[in-house]
Amino acid sequence: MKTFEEQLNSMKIPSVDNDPYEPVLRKRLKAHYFNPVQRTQMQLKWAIGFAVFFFVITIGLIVKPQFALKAHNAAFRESKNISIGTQAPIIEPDYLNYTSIRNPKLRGELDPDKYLEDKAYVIRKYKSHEDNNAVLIVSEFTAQQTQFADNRLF
Amino acid sequence: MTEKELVKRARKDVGAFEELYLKYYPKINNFVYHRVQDDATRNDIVSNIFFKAMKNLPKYRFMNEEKCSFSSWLFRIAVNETNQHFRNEKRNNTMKNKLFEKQSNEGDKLIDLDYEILKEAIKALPLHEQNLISLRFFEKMKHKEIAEILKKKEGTIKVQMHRTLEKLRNFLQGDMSYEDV
Repeated sequence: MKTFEEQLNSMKIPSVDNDPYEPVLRKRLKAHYFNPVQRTQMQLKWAIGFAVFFFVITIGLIVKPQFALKAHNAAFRESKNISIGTQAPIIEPDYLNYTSIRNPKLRGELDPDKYLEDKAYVIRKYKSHEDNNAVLIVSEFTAQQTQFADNRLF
Repeated sequence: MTEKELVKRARKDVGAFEELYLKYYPKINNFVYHRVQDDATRNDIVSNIFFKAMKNLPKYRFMNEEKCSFSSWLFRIAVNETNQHFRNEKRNNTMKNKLFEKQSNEGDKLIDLDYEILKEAIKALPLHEQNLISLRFFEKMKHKEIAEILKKKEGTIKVQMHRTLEKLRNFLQGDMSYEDV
């Protein structure tokens, strides 16, 4: 094996000297990477690419701000749950204040900041003037779903 | 200017690029020359290597500069590009038969070996082994350099080289085909 390896090592290996393609390729590479017009075009492409990227991110955050929270939680392995958009205190008309969790009479019973408003309901009571029976109509405020209860239940 | 500085400036400074290019063009060109037959194919492969190298130069500086030398990184591109060329090309096995006709069946005696015979013979080897022989005996590289280019341990390269040489020797002696080794 050693002899064969020595044979290979001592073998005369031809090489290409003064290859005519060398200056051709050098010119092509220079034209491609050092041409000022091309460089500017490349910079412009990068700039447009970045601008589009940040524009998409910005629009995404405006439309779905919770993505930022999800990304934060994923990046830092946290499980924060901030409800974006409900941080500011809700200002309701005075005449509705007693219906909300911020009813002053409930102060001390519960902390309104720990709760988020889920759904609003309207309850209307009707009384029959024939037999004194009553019915309650419970309606979900936005979804327009209604439940019916008669006086056997209250 | 050191090679590291040249590499750093090669994308912005045309002088640095030229210096680097003129240093490595002959090496890369010879490597490809020893692997392919015609000039047009060689020119295509060499072009691809240098364009790819220029394109990936920032990536090399960012990710590989500390791990391997510029030379090894460039040769790695050359090896990959040459392999890609052979994968795309349909292998022509007829030369294997020609070689069998040429070689005598004389056991361990010295093989009448020249560059052309060896160049033809290694074409029947798997691409990885072709690279080993080419880098070792055509480019005269050390096992350590080959290991860096092929991203393998030096010991692994030595073992693979030994097996490949054994295979090649048997093939050139006409004792058996590569499939039998």
